[in-house]
Amino acid sequence: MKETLKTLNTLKADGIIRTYAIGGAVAAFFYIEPTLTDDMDVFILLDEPDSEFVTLSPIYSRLKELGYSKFEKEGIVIDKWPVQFLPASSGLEKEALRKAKDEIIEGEPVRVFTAEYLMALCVAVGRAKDKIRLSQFLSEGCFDSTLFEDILSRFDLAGKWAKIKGVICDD
Amino acid sequence: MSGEAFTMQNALLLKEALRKRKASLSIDEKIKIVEDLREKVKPIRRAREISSSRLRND
Repeated sequence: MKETLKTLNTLKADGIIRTYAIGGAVAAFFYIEPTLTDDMDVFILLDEPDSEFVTLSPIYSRLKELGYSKFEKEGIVIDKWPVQFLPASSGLEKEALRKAKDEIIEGEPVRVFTAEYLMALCVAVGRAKDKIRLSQFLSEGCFDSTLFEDILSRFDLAGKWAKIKGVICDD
Repeated sequence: MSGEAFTMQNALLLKEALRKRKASLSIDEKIKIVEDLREKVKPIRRAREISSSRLRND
């Protein structure tokens, strides 16, 4: 994964992406037990805030120059890891990106979503695997519940969370 | 407590201990576990893809 992360940092240093943060399963590894995942979700901010259309072409062009052009499912493969570049679009994603924390993985500096924002995004998306992940976060108790509830309340997710919590705490 | 209930309780305790142990590993150790797992499931997934492709073609 080191080369994958190095490449992300190269894209940032080259100004291709303004900032990024790892989300999804890979970010969740910081807080809960590891599970098999196919790809790495990388949330990005692009320098075109007012545009309705977002293009990832500059990222793919630079990656091609760096020798990466193979796609697997929705991700471009960078050193064995398919990476999905996800432009932060919702208010929640943008805030999660702003509040991401600095970490080190295999010696490489990276930015990673915090537990509370990862959980809120799981609530927002609400797939079966998100519910499993939420139940793992609850088991670990590795998050600030006040902060989590504040995020849920501000992004109108409290009702959805109550329903999900009812299901996962019943199992 | 019956032998069966004791075994079940032990299994649950063991499962919980394993979960806690895995959750407390360093991020680099966790990534290594996942990368190893990905390599192990690759041939299984490939075989499954070939099998479903054959089924589609039949």
